[in-house]
Amino acid sequence: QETGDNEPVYIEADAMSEDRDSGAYIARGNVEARQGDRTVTADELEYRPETGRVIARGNVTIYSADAPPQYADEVELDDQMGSGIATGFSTLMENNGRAAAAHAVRRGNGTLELRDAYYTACQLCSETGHEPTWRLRAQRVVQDTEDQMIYYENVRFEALGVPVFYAPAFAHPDPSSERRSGFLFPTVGVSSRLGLSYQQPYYWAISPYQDFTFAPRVMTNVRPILLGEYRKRFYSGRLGFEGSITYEREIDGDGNRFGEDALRYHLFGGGEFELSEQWDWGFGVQVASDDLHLRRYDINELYQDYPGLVETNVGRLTSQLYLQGQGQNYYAEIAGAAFQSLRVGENDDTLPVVAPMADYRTTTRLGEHGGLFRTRLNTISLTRESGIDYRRASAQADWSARWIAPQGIVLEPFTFARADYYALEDIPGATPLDPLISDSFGRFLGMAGAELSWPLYRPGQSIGSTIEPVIQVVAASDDDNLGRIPNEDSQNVDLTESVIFAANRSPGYDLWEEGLRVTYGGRFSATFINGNEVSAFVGQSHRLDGDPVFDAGSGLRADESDVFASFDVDLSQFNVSANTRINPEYGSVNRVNLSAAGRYGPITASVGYTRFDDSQVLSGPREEARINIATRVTDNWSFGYTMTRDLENDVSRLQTAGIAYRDYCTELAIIYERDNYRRGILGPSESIQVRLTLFTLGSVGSEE
Amino acid sequence: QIGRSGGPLDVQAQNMDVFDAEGRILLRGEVDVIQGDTRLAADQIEIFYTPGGNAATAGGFGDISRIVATGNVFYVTPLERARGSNGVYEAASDTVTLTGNVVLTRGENVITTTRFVTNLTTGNSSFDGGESGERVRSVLFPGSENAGGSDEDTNE
Amino acid sequence: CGFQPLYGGPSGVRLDGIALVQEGDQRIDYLLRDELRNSFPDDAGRYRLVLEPADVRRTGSGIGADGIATRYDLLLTVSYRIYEDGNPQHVFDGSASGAGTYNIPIQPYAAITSQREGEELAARSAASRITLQVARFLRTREGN
Repeated sequence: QETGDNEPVYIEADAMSEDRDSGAYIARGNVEARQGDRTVTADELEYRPETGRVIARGNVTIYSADAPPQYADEVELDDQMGSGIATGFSTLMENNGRAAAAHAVRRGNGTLELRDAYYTACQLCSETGHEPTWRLRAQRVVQDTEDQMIYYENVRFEALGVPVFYAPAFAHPDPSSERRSGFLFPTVGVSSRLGLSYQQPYYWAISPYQDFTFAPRVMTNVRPILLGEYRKRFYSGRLGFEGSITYEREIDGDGNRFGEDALRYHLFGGGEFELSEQWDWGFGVQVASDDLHLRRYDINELYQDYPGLVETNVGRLTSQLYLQGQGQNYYAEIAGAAFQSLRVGENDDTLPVVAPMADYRTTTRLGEHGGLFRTRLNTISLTRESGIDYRRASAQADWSARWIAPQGIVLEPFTFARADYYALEDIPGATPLDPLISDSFGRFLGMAGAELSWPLYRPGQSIGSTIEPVIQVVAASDDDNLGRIPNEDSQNVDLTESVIFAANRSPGYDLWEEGLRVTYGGRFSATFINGNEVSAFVGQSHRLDGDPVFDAGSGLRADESDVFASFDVDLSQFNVSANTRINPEYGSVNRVNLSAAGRYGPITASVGYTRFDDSQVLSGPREEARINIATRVTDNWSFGYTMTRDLENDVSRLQTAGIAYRDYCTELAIIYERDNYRRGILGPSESIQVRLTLFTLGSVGSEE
Repeated sequence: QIGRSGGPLDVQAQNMDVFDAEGRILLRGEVDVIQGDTRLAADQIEIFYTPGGNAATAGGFGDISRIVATGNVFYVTPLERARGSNGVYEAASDTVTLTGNVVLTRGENVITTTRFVTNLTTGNSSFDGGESGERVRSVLFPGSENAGGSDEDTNE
Repeated sequence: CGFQPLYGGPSGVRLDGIALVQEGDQRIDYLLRDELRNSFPDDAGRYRLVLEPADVRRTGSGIGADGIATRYDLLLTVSYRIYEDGNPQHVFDGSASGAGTYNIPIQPYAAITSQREGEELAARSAASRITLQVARFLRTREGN
């Protein structure tokens, strides 16, 4: 920027002298010279008003409005103190980048050229007293402010002062620039299946709202694979895709290749868009060429920012399209979903296409104490290549209220009425020879009940405690269609605190709990002034009349249900929660669920333990423990370990151990992972991953 | 002599006392001493000279060794105007020293300091805080002509 | 032994006159507010209970030989603030959580309904905790 050339120069110093012959003023001692928006401070400064040249010597600092301060031993600047030559120069850059050089020349257009210079984002030796963790030393460095890049000629990369890597030329974006296209930091690793692997991402900032990261990965055991991620943000929503593609044979657990070459790929993606203040729609896509592709190349099966109503699970790829709307008193959604199984030996044809899946709820208040009147319309259609085609439509209305009776007894009455209509096709006959039949019918269901609770409170200076005895009576109509309805949506009922007092304890529509039952229990909680809290709950349900509908493992099959008890302690540094189900007849423990987490000094740890008894129909292990420990060893080094152990088969399913180094300008993570899974021919695998990030040298979001 | 051009001293004052034995002249009241193109003015100026010089040549005063000006001292040359609370001319070092809130202007350039010393033979001058440690402050305009030797640019 | 009814008697707390405001726009936020509408019936009043968007976290457990989680532990945490008329600063801020575990059946549609039921139950238990905390806050605030 051109400051007027006759802009005055303010000079302040301990002493000044004027040399008549050269017409120069020489200021000495804490000199401060200011012109326009530039300031130079130095031990000594020589200024010639006639030519405007400024020469500053000793501890020179140049402050200018648009750039961080620059330091030098000696600087000669032109009249606007703009371009000039400096020796022993160093400058701080945005986002903590630092450059220093023996000589520096600043051009009029602001470009800075450094001779025998180095660049780092670490604190300088003067600040820390030891070599910076890393540094780029080059014979010539040019900081081009036009295209916001920094170019190096014959550059050496030094780690802790030791040259490690040489390159004739190198460039990276100026740390002050925002998103720039360029190479990101590679990930290096070794795994028992893929051998050594090197993945080099390239980040392409297509436009301010669009980017594409393209990351080929080279491996020793198999041909390279191409990974990519595309993201785009719209005014009303966002869109993202992630995928991989390679042309390769299959490999087994030890990396030996077999089978024939085929195109192997995966595509995950999705988008969410806002139609209006209350309505939005979105879609999700998950496709893979074969069941083991993702596991073979260690690609995460759970795509984090997968939008959609239907959550995805491991081993199950889900594609969906949905429309969703919500207001003060209504909620509506309509969706369609299709699945691809990654479980070996599972035929995709048995998986249904879920379309449409629609739900429309309204809630209206009936006056001050009239309670709430809710309506719900719900329909579902499951179509299968092979298997039952299941269609249901339901209309439901319920009323509930919460009244405070004298003495503070809380009375919560509720009634419920529902009509279902089923249309089923391809129902297999008794034997495989029988022809497939179809069936359609309707049913009406109703229920009424009330819950009585009497919350009692004892205020105290340091402890406020509450006791809440609860009793609930429910009478539900009989359902004689039990055999005709395939149980599609209520397959696993599991007694917990919130299930036992639910009016309709079945998770779906197909199962209906009939008969008369009474449920009783109590909650206790004590909160301390400092926010710590201890709470406990116990509850049991007793069926007086009606046939059991839930399976044996639910804890609700017998007339006397399991007793559910839970206990939670929540202190600031430590919390424990435990719950269990006890069989009332034999006093045997049907289930124990324990989790604890705590912090002690630098160490944070969490433990989880679960055990089911044998009567449960379970696909997972009966007894499992999970441990997670993280600790800070020194200011920079930290260590983490996680383990999931299947105690039933006495094998550690997944173990990860990682060490991480993080300082002012570097982040290094080395993660060892060992799993004990078997999916088809892909058995257990081990891998080590190394991830290095040097701040400001090209890393996505590493500065925060 | 107080200016570079030397020459006779033209002295005016309300009253003047001469102590020839001590070689001292005391001028008080709006004292104004002019020598060539340089002028020294103050409330009171004392001129010290070596007594017994031949009166004829030096206008009767012989060689001046020292001049001390106190109170509203003004020192004006074709190049600059300086003001201070007191000033001293030393013949031995041929320098004029002004002290006490000195304000010096050269064209548009302005310098404020506690002590200002200018050497009449070399033309160089220096500014510093003296005992007070006060900072020297200046405003200099690029391109302003004050290179040495260009006497014609008198800026009164 | 010093226990008095929370809602009854002379120093009983009344939960009417508390307007319910929901900031989140996801399905879980609707469920949470729906569960609270019986405890806080009014749409206007002296206090305003503002529910921040709920955060739902799932961790898989029961991981078998094939590395597939057969159970999910779900933790819903929601923070809320209570404002009193004429006072821009909130007079109370708290948070409540609702936990739930649900099984993941093999059939995908059953897994969807199982997960949604888990969310609904977690919302219900968080709502009952919020109701208790707000009642306790009003009890101590109204100085009885």
